[in-house]
Amino acid sequence: MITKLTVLYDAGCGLCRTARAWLASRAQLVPLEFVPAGSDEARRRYPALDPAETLADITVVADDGGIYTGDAAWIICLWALEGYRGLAARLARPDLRPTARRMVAAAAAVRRGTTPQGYGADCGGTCDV
Amino acid sequence: MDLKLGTYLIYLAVSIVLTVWVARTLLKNGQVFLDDALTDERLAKSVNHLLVVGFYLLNLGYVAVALKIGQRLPDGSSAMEALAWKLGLVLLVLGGLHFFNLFVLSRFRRRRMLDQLPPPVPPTRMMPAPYPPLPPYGMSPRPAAPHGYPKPTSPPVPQQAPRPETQPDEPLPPQ
Repeated sequence: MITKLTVLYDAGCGLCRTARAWLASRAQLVPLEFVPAGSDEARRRYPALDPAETLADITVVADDGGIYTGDAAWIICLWALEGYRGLAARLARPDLRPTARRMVAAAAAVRRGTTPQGYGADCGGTCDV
Repeated sequence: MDLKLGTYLIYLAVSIVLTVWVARTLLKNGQVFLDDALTDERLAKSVNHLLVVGFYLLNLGYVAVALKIGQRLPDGSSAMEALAWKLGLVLLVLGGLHFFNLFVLSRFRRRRMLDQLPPPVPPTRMMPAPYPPLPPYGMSPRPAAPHGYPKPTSPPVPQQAPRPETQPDEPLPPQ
């Protein structure tokens, strides 16, 4: 049973900050907590997670120990919001999951285009895609 | 009694009977649906009654407003046509309200089911479990009473006489 989700987002990228602000502004059924990836707080809380990996790809850690990355991270974030659970369930269906994957890949491409070269890992948000 | 008044009376009687029948059906069968949709049985009962009251008001209001037959009714067949038209409209309105009611209830139900929906995706991986705590140093404690052996007893502790206090008049040993 998940009662809290911690979102490790890249505080150095504008798109990620916008996404974080949008997520934070919605009503939440499961509380979301935002921690900048690679920060001291993130290292202290999750010493087992590789900071470079969490910077490269959005990572959501559930309080039951589950780690969600890539499109699964987005779907679990939508699931936590009030009024977006239906959308999350639809996106998780096998026929729509590839579309969700492509959307996340498109967002990652925008992110790569708007952040300085060499920032994050080579796959830059598409490690799972 | 002229033909028009008779048509009005039949119209009113049939409309009211139909409305009551549909309302009772809604009250009876909607309860199960609402119990599932709202979890709280008291709330479900209350919502069900309120919905049925709204249904009565809307439908009887429509029956009353639509009562008037503007045309003249010279013979029985024209009266029958007018009556069929009016009753048909009442039935269509009843059907429309019934489906609207079902739509509202299914929205309630869907919302509750979504609130209880488990995460739609499995975790990509699990957080590695921390190392288990190390066992304490030293030998494991001895079992209380091994089978076949007498219970180990500790040797009796000799009763020590209390040490006499130094006498004040005892001469001190030479330095």
